[in-house]
Amino acid sequence: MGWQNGTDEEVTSHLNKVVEALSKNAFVGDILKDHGGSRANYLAAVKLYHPNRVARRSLEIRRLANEVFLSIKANVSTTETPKASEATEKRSKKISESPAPKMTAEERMRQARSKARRSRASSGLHKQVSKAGASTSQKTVVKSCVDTVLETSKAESEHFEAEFIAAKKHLQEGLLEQALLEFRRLSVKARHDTRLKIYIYVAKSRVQLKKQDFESALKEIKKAEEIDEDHSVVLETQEMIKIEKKRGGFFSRFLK
Amino acid sequence: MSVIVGIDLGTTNSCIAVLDGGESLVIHNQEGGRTTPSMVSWSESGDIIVGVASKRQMVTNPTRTIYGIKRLIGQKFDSATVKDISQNLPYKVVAAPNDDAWVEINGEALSPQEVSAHILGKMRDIAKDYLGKDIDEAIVTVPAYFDDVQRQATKDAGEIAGLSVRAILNEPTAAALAYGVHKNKDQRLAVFDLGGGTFDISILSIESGVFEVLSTHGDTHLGGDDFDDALINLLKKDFQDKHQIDLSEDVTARQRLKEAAERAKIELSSAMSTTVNLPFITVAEGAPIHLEKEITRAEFEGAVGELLNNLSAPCERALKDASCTPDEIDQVLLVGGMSRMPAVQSKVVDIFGKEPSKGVNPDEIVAMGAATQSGIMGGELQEVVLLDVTPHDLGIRVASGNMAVIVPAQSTIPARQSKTFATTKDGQTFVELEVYQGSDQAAKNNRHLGNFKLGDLPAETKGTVKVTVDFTIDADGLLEVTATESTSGKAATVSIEAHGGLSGDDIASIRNKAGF
Repeated sequence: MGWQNGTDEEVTSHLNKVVEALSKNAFVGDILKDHGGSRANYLAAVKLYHPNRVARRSLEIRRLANEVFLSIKANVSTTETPKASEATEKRSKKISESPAPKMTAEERMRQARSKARRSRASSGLHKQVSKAGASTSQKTVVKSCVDTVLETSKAESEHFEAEFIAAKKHLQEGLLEQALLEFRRLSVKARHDTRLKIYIYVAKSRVQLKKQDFESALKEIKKAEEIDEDHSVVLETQEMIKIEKKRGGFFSRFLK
Repeated sequence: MSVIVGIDLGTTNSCIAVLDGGESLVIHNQEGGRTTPSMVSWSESGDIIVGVASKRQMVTNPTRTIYGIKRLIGQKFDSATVKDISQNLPYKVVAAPNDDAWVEINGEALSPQEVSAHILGKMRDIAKDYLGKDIDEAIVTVPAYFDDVQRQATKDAGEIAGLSVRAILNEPTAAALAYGVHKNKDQRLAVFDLGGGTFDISILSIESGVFEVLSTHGDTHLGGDDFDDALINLLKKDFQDKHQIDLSEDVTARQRLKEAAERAKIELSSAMSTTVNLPFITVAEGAPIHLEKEITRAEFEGAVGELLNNLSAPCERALKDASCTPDEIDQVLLVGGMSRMPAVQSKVVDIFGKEPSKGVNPDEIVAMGAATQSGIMGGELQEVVLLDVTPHDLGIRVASGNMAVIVPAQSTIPARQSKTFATTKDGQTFVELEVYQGSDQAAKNNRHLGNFKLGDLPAETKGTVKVTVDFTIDADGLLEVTATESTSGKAATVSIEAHGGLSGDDIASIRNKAGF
């Protein structure tokens, strides 16, 4: 830290380099390689380059710092996305190539939910147009808004799914606190997504299990059960609690 | 580098703090108080008195003593809010040439910015006396739910007072910053800020030193003054029942009632009952009449029941927007003097299901947070940073008259969003973009921030020419709007700075007149 303490020329040059690096998707790999995970990268990067760090410098420097911040917001996700979108791509390919019955229940639910969401968003907005009795010209304007909204949602949802997969991976790897934070973070973006609610309770339950607090673990998993009692991760966690209870917390010791 | 002070410019009281060795330090005023009444009085001859001295003579000089000016800043005279507030004020609220709500003193109309500038000037003098050097930079706090016009008006007040306002910081965010800066603990906070005139609720997550606001809601017209008014109405009604005299018409009596009600309200936070005793409140048939009434806590709580109920909805919305359940909140911070009322604290327990955190001074924590932010901006505090959000939707008016939201409320700033629109008429060669802020679907019910035109569009059939509108909000809250025609790439960019109601010339002339 301390890049902001240089002369105007030094700070400008540094920020320009960061902007350039970000434009090449090199930011996370080259500058913040010590931090693992997209959330950790994001937090470390915004802490380092938030425009408030140069609030007392020239307008030009402040403007550049704003650009850096906006690029970090976009870039951390992009840098993390290749792997994740590869996974998403593979998964969707798998889904389209696989015969329908072989899809997992979770995948089918996700697909149906996403379809319903898109259709709700579209029909809701179109309904608004007809309800208001808009003229054709008004419809054109609103229609173009609809298209934009849907286009943005598609890009966002791909990134969202990639982050969700990463969080689930952390849960499976036993990085429970990290996974819990990631699920919570995602739940801010998609507050109506019940999957996240389930995974938050599951993560909380496993955190309690790790502490061998079986009662609290059961309490948390019960909340997930109330949302979807047949969800595979809920069933898996229930099973874990059962086994752990029997074996006196033997496995919990190995959870990170 | 010069010192940046943190100022909590409150409706009822103001507080100033400075960062000293990484710690926020509240500076006491010349009278020894750690907070200063946000009051300004003018004598008949035009002398200006600010703070404690002003409060002392509010009863004897009611029509020239201005309090609660924060509730008028950035407001239009004909708004329902101003009409409602001005009913209970002993001083005169008038319409400015631009239709803003101003106040009238000695026959002269003064802007709320000018009145606020006197309070900010007093706070600057307090810091100057304590630190022994000139102060020309400040971070000033405002309610999180203030819109851009109210924020700009507050900034203008700073400029009149000769202060360069480095940042306008949201009050609950400032409180969270002061609370969590040295805690090194990841957690979720709800900041419940019930001050003299406004109510804010913010949900924040603290993660690895990053203070991130997840959601914020509030009511810019719900605060301690409303609780005082409820108590005043109770006293007035009781007096009228007993003596058939309406005290509303008597300005001096109203001011005495205001003072007594505020005192009784504070006493009822610790006692179960209190007596309001106002001898010689009025005269009837040549004989003086006294007001004496015992008020119980239950009676007071009954009178403010509706106000207490109004606290729930913003909290529920904030929790919903943050995708949080109450049990996921680790701490509830109480900010603002009104949060000391036991019924308010019970309400907090009802909403969040947990006891609020003790150990912070609700009158000082906001100023301390502003001082902490000065440390972040000045480079003394490297391990923390604040990510705030825009509290209201920002967008443009579309042909239907609705507002197409481009940057939704609760977006982390700096932010950049864009949306594409199409022309609505055959041969249309320009588009007029009107920028609005607010949550109403109809643009006209929201705050108009500015407009600009993108011309020389290709004259095509309607719907074929596409214009992409980009909104960029920087860390200072400045909005830059760019409109680009898709095929030619022709673009126009403007910075939309909310107009606080005063021009640069107005600010300079008020500054000269007031002698800052």
